[in-house]
Amino acid sequence: MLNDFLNTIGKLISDSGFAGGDPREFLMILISCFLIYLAIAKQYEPLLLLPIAFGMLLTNLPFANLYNPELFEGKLDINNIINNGSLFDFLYMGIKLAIYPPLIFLGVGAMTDFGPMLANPKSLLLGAAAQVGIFSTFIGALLIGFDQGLAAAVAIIGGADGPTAIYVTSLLAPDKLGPIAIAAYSYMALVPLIQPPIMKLFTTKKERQVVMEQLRPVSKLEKVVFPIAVTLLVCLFLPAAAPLVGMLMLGNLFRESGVVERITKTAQNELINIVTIFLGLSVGATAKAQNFLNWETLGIILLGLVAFSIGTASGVIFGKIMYYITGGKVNPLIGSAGVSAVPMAARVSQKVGMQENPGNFLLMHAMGPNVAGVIGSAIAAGVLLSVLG
Amino acid sequence: MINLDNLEFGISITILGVSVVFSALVFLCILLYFFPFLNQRPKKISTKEEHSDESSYLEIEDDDKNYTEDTLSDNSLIAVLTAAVMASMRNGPDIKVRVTSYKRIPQSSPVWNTTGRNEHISGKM
Repeated sequence: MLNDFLNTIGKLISDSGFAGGDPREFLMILISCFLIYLAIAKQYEPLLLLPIAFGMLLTNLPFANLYNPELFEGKLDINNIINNGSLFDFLYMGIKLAIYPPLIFLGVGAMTDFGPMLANPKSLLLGAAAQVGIFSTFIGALLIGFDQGLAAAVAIIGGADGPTAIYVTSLLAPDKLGPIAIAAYSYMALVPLIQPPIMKLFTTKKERQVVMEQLRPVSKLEKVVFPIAVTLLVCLFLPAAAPLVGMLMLGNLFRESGVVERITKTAQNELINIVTIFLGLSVGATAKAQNFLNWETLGIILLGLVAFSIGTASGVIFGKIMYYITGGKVNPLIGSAGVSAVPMAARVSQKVGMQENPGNFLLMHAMGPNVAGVIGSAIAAGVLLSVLG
Repeated sequence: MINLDNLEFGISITILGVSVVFSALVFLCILLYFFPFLNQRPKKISTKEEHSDESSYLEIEDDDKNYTEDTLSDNSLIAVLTAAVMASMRNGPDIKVRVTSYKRIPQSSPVWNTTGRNEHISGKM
């Protein structure tokens, strides 16, 4: 009787995660707890970092088998996944089939006001300039030995656009989804720390003090025509960008048309929130110890920072060029907002501008390059996918 | 050891990518410069209606037909507006007011403020 009892207890202990866990899994659990701390205490992109970190924690629990990466190796076998998959395997299908990022873009489009960009079309060029960071990092990643798909996925971190980074990575380097998503969202959260020193490095005090002219009002008709024109232009020009740009513009058309208020509210709130939960958990689930704890992850995190910094610098330098061309009418600080990170990057431009001239309000001017950066990074993603996909 | 093939490939993708991103956004930028033309509409012909009544101080120029097509109700509205202005200016014999145009403006104050004001006014009456 006592023996049976002791045997049962012994079996329970030997079957538990404490006894059978890999030390690397416990290290991953510690890392996920640190990320949860960052999300809650420091509020670093909590909307995504919290589900990502908790997904990481769950997927690394020994014997839980919530996510089985082997089911997604080779050709996708839906029946195999249905028969042998677990919760995260089903949620991961939304990433594997590239469904979540375009749906997030739908919500982003429904929340974005492109008015500042329409009022100042020049700001589109700043959004384009900031994408230089993506392509220059691509060269660097290739040179240190990353394969082409992973190099492209790492480089897209420079666009500072989480859904785009996840979209590209899910198609080109799916096994590195965890570290790339975490790096992308971490750097987006760290925009207020990373960007100001770079902005100050490339600008003079006089340039930072430039007060820009007030933007013209934009009519409703312009705002309604814009998403249709962008969809036609960009998607005909670069069909690979259609899922991201098309959904972004659809969301924006919902918003600006004013005739589908219920759908707009759903896209802005319920839909994007639900997809964010699924996306965050699925991304976190891919960060299993064997995929995450290696030198490549360190390389991804360092190169992501390089990409982001070059993107910021190239935006500011292009802003400086525009400053000279326009005879000092453009404040180069708004160039840094060309990396997406909406609206954080625009807020940083505003903050740095106000430090030099407390009466200078750059926020609306910086929102132009900021939303242009979203379009620019989606186009850059389309280029990489059409060449490497 | 630098792999020259990788370097060449990377540079070619960079040139291609930057060119495509810039071309698309420059084209979009040019397109957006034409967007303000969407706002141009045929100029409205202002009609001037003068009351034949010589004794009236009112000269009505209704230049905002978009808001209502009902001229009769417009005239009534202008009469009410004129009366309100005259009343607010204490209707002195030396004050002559002529309402030449009016324009409706969208409600800018919060609806609760408006409700509060209306209730306050009705409470006084």
